[in-house]
Amino acid sequence: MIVPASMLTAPLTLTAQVVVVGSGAGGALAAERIARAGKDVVVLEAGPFVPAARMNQREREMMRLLYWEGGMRATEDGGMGVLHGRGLGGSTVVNYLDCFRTPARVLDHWADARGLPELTPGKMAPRFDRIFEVLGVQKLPESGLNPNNRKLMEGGRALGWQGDTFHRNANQCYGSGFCDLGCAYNAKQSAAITFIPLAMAAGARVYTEVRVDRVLFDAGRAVGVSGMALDADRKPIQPVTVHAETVVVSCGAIESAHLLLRSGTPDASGQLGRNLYLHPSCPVVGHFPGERIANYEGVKQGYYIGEFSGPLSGHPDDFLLEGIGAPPGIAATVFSGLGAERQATFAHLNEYAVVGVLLRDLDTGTVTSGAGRPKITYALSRADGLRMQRGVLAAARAMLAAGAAVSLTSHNPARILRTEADFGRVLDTPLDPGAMAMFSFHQMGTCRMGDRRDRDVVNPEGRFWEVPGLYVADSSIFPESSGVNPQITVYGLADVVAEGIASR
Amino acid sequence: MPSRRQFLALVAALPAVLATPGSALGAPQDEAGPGWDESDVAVLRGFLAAVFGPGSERTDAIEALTASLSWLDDERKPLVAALPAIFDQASRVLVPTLAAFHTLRPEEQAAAVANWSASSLGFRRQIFNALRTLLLAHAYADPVTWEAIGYPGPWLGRIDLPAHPLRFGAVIPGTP
Repeated sequence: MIVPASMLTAPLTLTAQVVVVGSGAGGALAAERIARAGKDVVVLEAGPFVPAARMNQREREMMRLLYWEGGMRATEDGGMGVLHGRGLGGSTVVNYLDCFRTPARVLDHWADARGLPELTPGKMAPRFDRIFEVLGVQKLPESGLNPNNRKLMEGGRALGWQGDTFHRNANQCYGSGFCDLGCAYNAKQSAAITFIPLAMAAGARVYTEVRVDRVLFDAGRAVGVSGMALDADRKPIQPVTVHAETVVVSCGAIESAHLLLRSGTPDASGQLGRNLYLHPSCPVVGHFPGERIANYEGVKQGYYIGEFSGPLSGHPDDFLLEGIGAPPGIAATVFSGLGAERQATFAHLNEYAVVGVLLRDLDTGTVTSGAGRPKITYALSRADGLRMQRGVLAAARAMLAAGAAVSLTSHNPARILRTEADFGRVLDTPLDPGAMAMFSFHQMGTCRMGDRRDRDVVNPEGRFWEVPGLYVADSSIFPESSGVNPQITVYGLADVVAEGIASR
Repeated sequence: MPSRRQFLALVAALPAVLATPGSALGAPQDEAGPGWDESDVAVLRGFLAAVFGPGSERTDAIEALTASLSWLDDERKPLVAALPAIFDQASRVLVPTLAAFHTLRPEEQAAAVANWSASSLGFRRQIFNALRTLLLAHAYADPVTWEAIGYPGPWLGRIDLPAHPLRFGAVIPGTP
């Protein structure tokens, strides 16, 4: 049973063995795994349950319904949009369905550097196997590539670069291209239609539209959470309290840190809210005059180039190139220029192929809690910025190799690249905030997992070092950025945490 | 219209204001608006005309943006709501004899926006980017803009799904 708390007419107090805050990849899997072990589980989700029938493929309504702050969240300096899902299923409802097992070299590094032997590739493999099975993950055939992703594939192959089609958690996908606005056909196997129903079948109770404001402590241990039920306009209407001997925080790297910070959670490491990774991403455009690319149609993210790392190589630049499309409201923000000149550029939208550069950031930002909202402080370091510039050039190179007449960057003003001789225009670009359109679709870190209480926020079981009964199971426990689209890594690490709770 | 003191306070709060590059969305029209007065709306109209170009008056971008602000965190709403006033008055803080943006002729407004766009001062470029992003995102989420860019809009009600050739991906047990 899913209970929309917006219907509450009186305060709600519940008792459970385990309360899970958040219902994205981490929370949904944790709830399923723990409920299946016979424990009484309550799941609280801040956003609503938006069934497929309500997903109308229109930006305004869907961004409002499915994203934190309606999709308008950003870093404090405005330099990077920070997009993450809000609602039953969290970001798994609005992602592009990319399913990467965490690269072995990343897991090996995490295991060695952070003292996390449970995270070695061999030990994670059976977890990933089960997750893939539940999500119905399969490899996209090349016949499923849209023209946008096909251009990236052709460009990469012309240059001799490694690449592949994505594995995706789709069941009978029509390729409508509205993945980021929620799947109106229930083809996307999000947590909302996979692990959450499994958790409910195992007895978990799910409450949506509950904003959790505090973790409750007694004698140094976590004993529950408190918050407010929200109405359809997100106004608080009734208090909600859940008493539980175990609290699992699974709100994602931004909101988990915010909740734990404003709860005054003891943290001897001093790292709570720090070590924020954002996987900075920027688009690069290839113009193919006279061809209908329509990057917003079909499977938006179908092909990636892994020549520069990800799962296919250990290149030190450590970025992925991924085909990407966007609805026109978001796309419009990428193209620079003013007035009639800008209109003339954007009028060719259907002739543009777009490549996203996804950088595995090595330097970090912070989440702090101020005036009731999370403050995201993040500046691209010079080292990361230089690698991003090389990613932009690689993307432009791929587009030109695929036959693009020109490649356009997302700088303001755009750098127009026709040949390699033009590439210096990118390398000369300053890296200050707003110099180019950048987004974060993946937020990680802030509650780092590791084997040292003076260095890491949660222990190898995902429990706060200083607080019995308080666990974190989401992307915030990543020791570092994953370097690949992280949903499977989130599921996998949540499985590690949930297994420990389930066995107690 | 903010006083000079209020304006300086707003500039001090700039990081929070700027943490809103925006994306397209909407909100119930009966939500309380951000309290923009006529000059604020005139600033937004002038700015939108400069960045969008011809036909900006046909979009509902400003109305939609007004409604969207209700979806921001409560603490950020008033700061974002102050963006038009900041843009309107910022130049006058440095040179008091300059006219406010909303009083300029359209060609002067276009020149002013271009000037902010290419400013050597980081905070001016950031304010420009914030307003530009918010307004363009809302403008192009409006169906009246779609024909010009060849965007056909949602599939729902337009595509015959059973006949659509792209359907693929039946789950095969045991894969991968």
